[in-house]
Amino acid sequence: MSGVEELRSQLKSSRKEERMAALERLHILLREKEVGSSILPQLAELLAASDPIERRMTSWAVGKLAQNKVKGEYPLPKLIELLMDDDEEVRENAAWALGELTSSGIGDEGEIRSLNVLLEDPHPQVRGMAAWTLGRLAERLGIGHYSSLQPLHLLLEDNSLNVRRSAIYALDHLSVIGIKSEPQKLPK
Amino acid sequence: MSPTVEKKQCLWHASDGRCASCKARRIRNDILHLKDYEMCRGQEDYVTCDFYKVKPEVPLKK
Repeated sequence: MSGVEELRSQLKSSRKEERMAALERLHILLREKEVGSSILPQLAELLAASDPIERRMTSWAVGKLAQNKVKGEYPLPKLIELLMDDDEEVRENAAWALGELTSSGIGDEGEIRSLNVLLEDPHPQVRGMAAWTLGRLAERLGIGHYSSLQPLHLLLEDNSLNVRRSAIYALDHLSVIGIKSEPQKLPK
Repeated sequence: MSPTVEKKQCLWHASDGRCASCKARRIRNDILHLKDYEMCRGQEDYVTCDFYKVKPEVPLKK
């Protein structure tokens, strides 16, 4: 059995310890770009794990596969669902994965509503990542919506430098595809 | 004004000076337009980085 096949089998294990150990090994292989799309079905299942640490590790793995530009059947609806996860790192990873997938031409308007909600997330790394993903959707796929403009403008005053810059990045790319604020008209 | 308190070593700050967080590097490259986006300047970057995470202390083996 090859290393990746063994990993796939371990990710299906009913024993959580075995799945976690497999996820740790998978992270190492992903950093070395030694994993392909064959692992995606197992990861799609584990995105629904009850343990937030397992969901964190799995959503990171999906994001890293996307960053490695591995082509495959990505669980887009599940990733969109995870944008509303109780755990902040899972929300951040899901947004990151969706942003990375735009490089492979994957993404749709169904992501925007949840990403807009994340722009008001209490955690700055989540707000920043959501803004970045909105920017990537506009830049790479020409997708965007006017509903993102107001929350993004509010982020220009955010305490976090990353968040402020991410908002500028998103607004710039939305503007390029024609989504920008109407100039204020002076009353007659 | 209170003196600046040094932050502990970041989990993602590798011994060769690079940032090991794939998410942080993406933001540093795309958003912050850092030329050396892979390199972390330590304390200087810790204070502004949303991805900063304290490296857990590993107990010494007896």
